Amino acid sequence: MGRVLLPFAYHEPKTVAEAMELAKRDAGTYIMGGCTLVPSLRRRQRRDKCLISLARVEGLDDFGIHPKSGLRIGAKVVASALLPNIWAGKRFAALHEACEQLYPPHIGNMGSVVGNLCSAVPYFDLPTAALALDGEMHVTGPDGDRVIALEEFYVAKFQTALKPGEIVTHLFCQPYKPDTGSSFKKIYRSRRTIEDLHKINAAAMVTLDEERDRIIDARVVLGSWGHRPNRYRAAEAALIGNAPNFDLFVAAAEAVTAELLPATDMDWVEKTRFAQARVLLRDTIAQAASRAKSRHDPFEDATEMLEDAR
Amino acid sequence: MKTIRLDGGDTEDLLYVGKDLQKPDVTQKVTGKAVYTDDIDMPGLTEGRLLHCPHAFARVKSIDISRAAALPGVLAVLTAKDAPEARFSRSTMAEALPSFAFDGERQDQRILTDICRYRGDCVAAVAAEDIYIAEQALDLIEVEYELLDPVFDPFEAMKPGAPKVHDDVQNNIAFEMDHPFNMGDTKKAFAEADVVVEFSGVNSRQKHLHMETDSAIAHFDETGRLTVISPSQGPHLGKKHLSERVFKDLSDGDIRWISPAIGGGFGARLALGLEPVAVLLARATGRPVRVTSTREEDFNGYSSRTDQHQKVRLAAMKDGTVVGIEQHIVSDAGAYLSHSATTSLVNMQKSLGLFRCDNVFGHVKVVYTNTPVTAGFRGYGNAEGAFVLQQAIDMLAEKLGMDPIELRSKNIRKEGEQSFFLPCKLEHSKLQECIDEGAKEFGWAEKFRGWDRPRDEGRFKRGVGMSILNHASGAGGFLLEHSSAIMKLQADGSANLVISPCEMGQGILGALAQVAAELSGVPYERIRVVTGDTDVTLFDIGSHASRSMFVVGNAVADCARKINAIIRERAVPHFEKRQIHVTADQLVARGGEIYPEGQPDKAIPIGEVAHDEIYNFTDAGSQISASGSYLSNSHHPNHQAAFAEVEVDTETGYVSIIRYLAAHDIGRTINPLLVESQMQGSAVQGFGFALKEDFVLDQKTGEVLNDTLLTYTAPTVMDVPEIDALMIEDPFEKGPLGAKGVGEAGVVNPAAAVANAIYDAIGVRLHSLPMSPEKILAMLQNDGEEHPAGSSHVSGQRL
Amino acid sequence: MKMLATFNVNGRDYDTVIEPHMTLADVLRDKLRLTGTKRACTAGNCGACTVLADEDPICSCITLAVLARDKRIETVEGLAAPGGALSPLQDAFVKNNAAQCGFCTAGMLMTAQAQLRDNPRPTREEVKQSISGNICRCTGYVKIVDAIMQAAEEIQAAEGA
Repeated sequence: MGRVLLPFAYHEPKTVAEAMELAKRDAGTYIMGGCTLVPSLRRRQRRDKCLISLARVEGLDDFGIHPKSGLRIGAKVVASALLPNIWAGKRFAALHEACEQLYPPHIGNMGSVVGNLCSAVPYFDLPTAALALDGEMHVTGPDGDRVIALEEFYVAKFQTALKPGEIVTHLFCQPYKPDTGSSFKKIYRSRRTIEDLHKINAAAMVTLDEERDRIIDARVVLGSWGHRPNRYRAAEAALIGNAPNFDLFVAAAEAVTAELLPATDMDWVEKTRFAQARVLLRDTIAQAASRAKSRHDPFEDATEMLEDAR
Repeated sequence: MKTIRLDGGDTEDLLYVGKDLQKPDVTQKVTGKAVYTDDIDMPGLTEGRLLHCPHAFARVKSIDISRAAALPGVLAVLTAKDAPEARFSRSTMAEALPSFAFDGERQDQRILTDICRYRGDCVAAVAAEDIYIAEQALDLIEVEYELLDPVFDPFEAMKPGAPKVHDDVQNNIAFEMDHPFNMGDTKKAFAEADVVVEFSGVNSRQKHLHMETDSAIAHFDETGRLTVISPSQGPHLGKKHLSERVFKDLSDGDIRWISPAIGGGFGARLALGLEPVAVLLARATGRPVRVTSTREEDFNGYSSRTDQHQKVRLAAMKDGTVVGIEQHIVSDAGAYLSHSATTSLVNMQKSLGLFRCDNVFGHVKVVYTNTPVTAGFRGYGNAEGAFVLQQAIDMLAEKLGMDPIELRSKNIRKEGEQSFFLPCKLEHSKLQECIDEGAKEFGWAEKFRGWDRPRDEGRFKRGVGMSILNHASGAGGFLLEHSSAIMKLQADGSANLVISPCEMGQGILGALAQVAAELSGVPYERIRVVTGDTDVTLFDIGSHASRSMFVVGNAVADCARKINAIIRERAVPHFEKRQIHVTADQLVARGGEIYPEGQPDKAIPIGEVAHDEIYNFTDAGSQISASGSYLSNSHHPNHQAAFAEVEVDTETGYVSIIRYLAAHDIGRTINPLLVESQMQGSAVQGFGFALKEDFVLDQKTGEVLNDTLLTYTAPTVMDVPEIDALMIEDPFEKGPLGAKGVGEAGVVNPAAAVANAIYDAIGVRLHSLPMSPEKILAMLQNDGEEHPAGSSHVSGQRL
Repeated sequence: MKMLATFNVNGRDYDTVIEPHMTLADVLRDKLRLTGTKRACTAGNCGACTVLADEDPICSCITLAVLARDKRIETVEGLAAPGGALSPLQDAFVKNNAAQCGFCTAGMLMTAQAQLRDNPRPTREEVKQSISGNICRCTGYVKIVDAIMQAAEEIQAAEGA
């Protein structure tokens, strides 16, 4: 737990290839904003001997968000860049909300979305949100390019499926199906034991049928419970095929908590953690469903009509 | 803020007092020019850092500093063998305490230790050319520890056979006493009473969380004299303590102590922090050394409130007359005693003294555990006590079917009655007026719907609660409670006011200058305050116990009146020159001018008199100057009544404070803007204490779990409800222009008032702080009947 | 690994020698002697070290200085006019007594400064949102929000005049 960082070597490559070369040569760690890395270096939770900044690497600043083409965010894009984007707010609301609620808000100006996802910190918000949006990490590495679904991306606490030297070039989320809504919420808790995390977060995505009275697809994610965010397929199955209503959301939330394991051996702590998770999940799913119902955008109809006319 | 003036004093003609004047140091603070300890640079300054023990209880078997010492740029690496053998307490209050309480300030700590009694105890210190080298050196020190069995719970610690935190202390009980002012026969009173209630509870270890982490510079000059620069709340006591207990080869005058700008104190800076180790390193290196700590180190090793496990019993007759009060306290000091015994004593003094009662019994035990050191925090035991006592009095009201206001009003000590603080009369109290006016403003009569009303329907339930308090304006009669001030006039009629409260942000320098301006005749904007240097200022015990406005204020008033008299006396010849024949008594010095009473058109500037006194080439030259002093021999309590309305989310357990109103018995408001700032700031600190701030130790390892500002959730702006402050003004003849203290009281009521409001909303009483969502939810899930197990073992206590 | 670096702070270029493991807060304070920016948590949790980088508030305590070399940095020292006249925001902080111990003040001012540029007519709620990551232990925040609201009004009034 130092007041300052211990010395390390530092490189500022200009290209992805150069970065990978340096990473291999010096067993370096990539750094973007450093919001997670710098404090952990100071606390001596990490002792990296060499950092490779991606700040000056060209071609990592893709930024495209559109209902038709999906969400594509390059490794260098900071979280606050999503905030003024209308499609991020309307169509990728879960991720937008998670970015909006970063604490403190300053982090959004410093930390990149991809960097946040790569930190694999168990209580982080963006992984939970991006997982609900079926996010996938597009990776380039010494052995070529590959795509890792976020669901496979998290291996253990602070550990991802990335191999040494690999760089995530961008995050990609599929375009929304019509009549889809998503949402993200979190609750802060007090820590009771060393295993406890100080919050719970949840994200959901709900797709309705054309009449908008039946759920045809769903994602339910709970994070900050264990070492990584998880999708709960039983809850998703409980939602699919049914009309969206309060009782259904409660049932889905309960389907999640039925699968959860307590983090401590303190009965009352766990009771309340489960109760709060139920409320959080219920409300998150409800909000996603309500957005699916209401966020239908006439602009898309117009575009479709135009395309049909062609 | 609203002010209610009880004596209708609106005919007064005051120039500065009662006005929203700008405090002297505010411009520095908004421009980034204020200089804090960590901002100071001086030739040859080196940087020091400490190595902390990572175990809760361990003996240092061996320590190898050779690699660290060999690192280029490292100037000294010190361990326990280099530190004085003398034991000291981090609390400097020992020097200002009477002998019966002094035992509560056990001198039990060394600067560097080879027996580590908590995670964070200091085993080695390094000084290096810069902070980066110092950090690398720390990393190279190799320590081998022999692990000892720790004890983290005060009740476990008292059991026979428990690990001994200090070898020389039986059952880890560091301090035990009956309250010195116990009286009557509580056994009999409780047996004969119509109604008896009992409530127990414990507060959390709220962290001071001053934004500036601890820091100190020590420097021996070419003559061997020591200068200490640190954010101390009481530098005069600091240097006495440092020389008396730590470095016994130094004497009081060998130390010059400078307090620069202070980034928040809240009681933490009443204790020695990094100063002793900075001195040790400065001696070893022969260079100025600054030692700094990190936020994590402040969390792990620095002070917090003491968790005081309390049981309160109240006995009353059917008509609501309280006939017996009992309070038992078991406090967890942590690894060293510091202020924890005195805060516990003060808790008893405040809790047992609020209500008129002939049968009073209090008992306190303070216990060592292998946990971080606790200390004095704004409110100094009072906030800890109010949380329990004010819930107990509400329980009594419910049993009696009385309105909480009615029961409190019936039993509070009134002006002229016996005071409980000391065997003397309560000279001034407007607590009843605080209760009445506060209730009116809050709308209590409409909002409190009785004890047997049905709870609100639905997820969100609302409730109201109240709490009252008595607090000190300085601990006169108990502490060494005197202050002095110096004022001198420059040749242009401006003045220096030399005082030694500590400006931690409360604006006290401004308020004291307002008193000086009002009474001396020198305009406020022409008074320059000199402070924070023990070579310049007169002895003072520093800023705490809401004493500065009252005690230092009275010293300033004394001094300013003397200056005013000298100015008038020296002005007489100036009027003579102008063919105006007056005596000093017929002159008025005010607002920078001197004039014969009733003839402001004949005014001459004070500057003329001040100038001619100094630049006087006859044999009568001098400078207009005076010093004033004040010795306080009583606590002169200030009081407060507070009202809270809360909304409980019964699904998540979250409590929102909807509205909070505090009415304060202030005597006189010297500066309404500063007072309102104190009221708002203390209330929000109190909300954190009530609902959020939890300092969690792992019960198996003693590790501090939330050592960051992310996981220790202090209130942010989003937690702030509507806060109303109501000033009940009635100038107290013993106060400077009638003022009493205000800074500390505001943190006392919130937890108690919010707890009572939560009960009103959901019918559940919480026994521990903070009243976090998880605890509320747990209680609700159990319908308030079955209570989840908690850490405390005091009978009847839960959570 | 010493390196020569140039930092643009408050419109002025500063050349200095840094090392990669130095944070922006360390360089501003210890190298450039701009000590108005404070280190309070050094973990990006409290906002006391807030400076503006290309007009956006960032935590200088967890930003490596090397990563800030090509940014326009603004600190509390740059708020007042060159002659020393306080900015409307600083003036409102003074008038409302929005600074007590003063340790969070620079961060509060810089965060608010960025907000008022972005959103010159904020609502009270928007002001609260924007400073929600800045911790103040003294004031209870009320006066700070008052001051920012007042500064917004005064800036508007001055521009309207």
